[in-house]
Amino acid sequence: MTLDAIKVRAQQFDRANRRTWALTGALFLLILIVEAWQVWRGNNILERTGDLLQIAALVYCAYQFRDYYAVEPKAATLGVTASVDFYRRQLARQHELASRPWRYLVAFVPGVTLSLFSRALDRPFAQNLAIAAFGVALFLGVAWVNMRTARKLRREVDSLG
Amino acid sequence: MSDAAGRERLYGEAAGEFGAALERLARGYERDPDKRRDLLQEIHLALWRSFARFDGRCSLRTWVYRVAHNTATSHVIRPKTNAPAFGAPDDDLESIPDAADGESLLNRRRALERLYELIHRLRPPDRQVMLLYLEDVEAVAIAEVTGLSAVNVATKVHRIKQLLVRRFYERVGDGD
Repeated sequence: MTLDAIKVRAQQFDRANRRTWALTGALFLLILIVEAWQVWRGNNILERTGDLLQIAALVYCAYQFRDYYAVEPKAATLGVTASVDFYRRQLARQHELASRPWRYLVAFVPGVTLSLFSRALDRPFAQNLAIAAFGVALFLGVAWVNMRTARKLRREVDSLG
Repeated sequence: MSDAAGRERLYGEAAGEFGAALERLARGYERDPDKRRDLLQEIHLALWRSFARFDGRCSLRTWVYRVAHNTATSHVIRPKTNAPAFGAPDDDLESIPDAADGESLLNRRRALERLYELIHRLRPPDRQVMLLYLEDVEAVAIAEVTGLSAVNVATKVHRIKQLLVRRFYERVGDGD
């Protein structure tokens, strides 16, 4: 690649990066506004509290993921990090994210539970049971997949010595 | 070194001296030709950016290979979508003429294709060691790039070579 082509690519990359962050932020803000509007207009106090807790959980998770992406490797550090160390750090970072799924999942439990059960009295018992079973299975399934990934990553990190 | 002229000079030097090696390195990490082109651009971009922080504490070669392998490793462990089937046709290999001196050239092309297939199966640290070894980089310099000890590099090279030879002939034996 020529030097000029590299400079153009670098500028394009920076612009695309800024655009992606701006779009992600705007989308997140839009979701928050829509959710907040629904909370404002709702009648059922339990459901409204549940929605509010879900918004709080969403903000918490977004903050956590923001931290995760903020430590993406910067080009300047690539030259000072030995390649096996770099690989180990990347795996450790992925492991850190996958090994504690409860940290993200639990945040949603109070909000989702309140939202679902705020209308429980209007539904037949069997339907409530099915919804609860589905919710628990979904949470456990996500946690299991994450834990399995974390175990694989741990083994790979350990094998590097 | 952080001034713009120095950065341009360093990049020019690196691209001139290691350009071909970086292309081979990209081939060792990515078998899909389009993605490989993207990876190569990504490596060049990372190199250009990295030279803003180059302070000469290691050799230019070590710096270039670290940036390239680290960028390629990030590329490899990123979640993949639409990964091509194993052993997808390779445009560079396809471009080697079949007819020139017949069978030997064709065999060489197949052997090279098979070697890259086997390298793609190695874990990133082993792949890093092997690709550097194939570039005739000596064990001490490989150690500097990878962070392993020189003795460990020598042991790894020996084991990986044995593994590659075994797999290579297993596939020949399978009538591939």
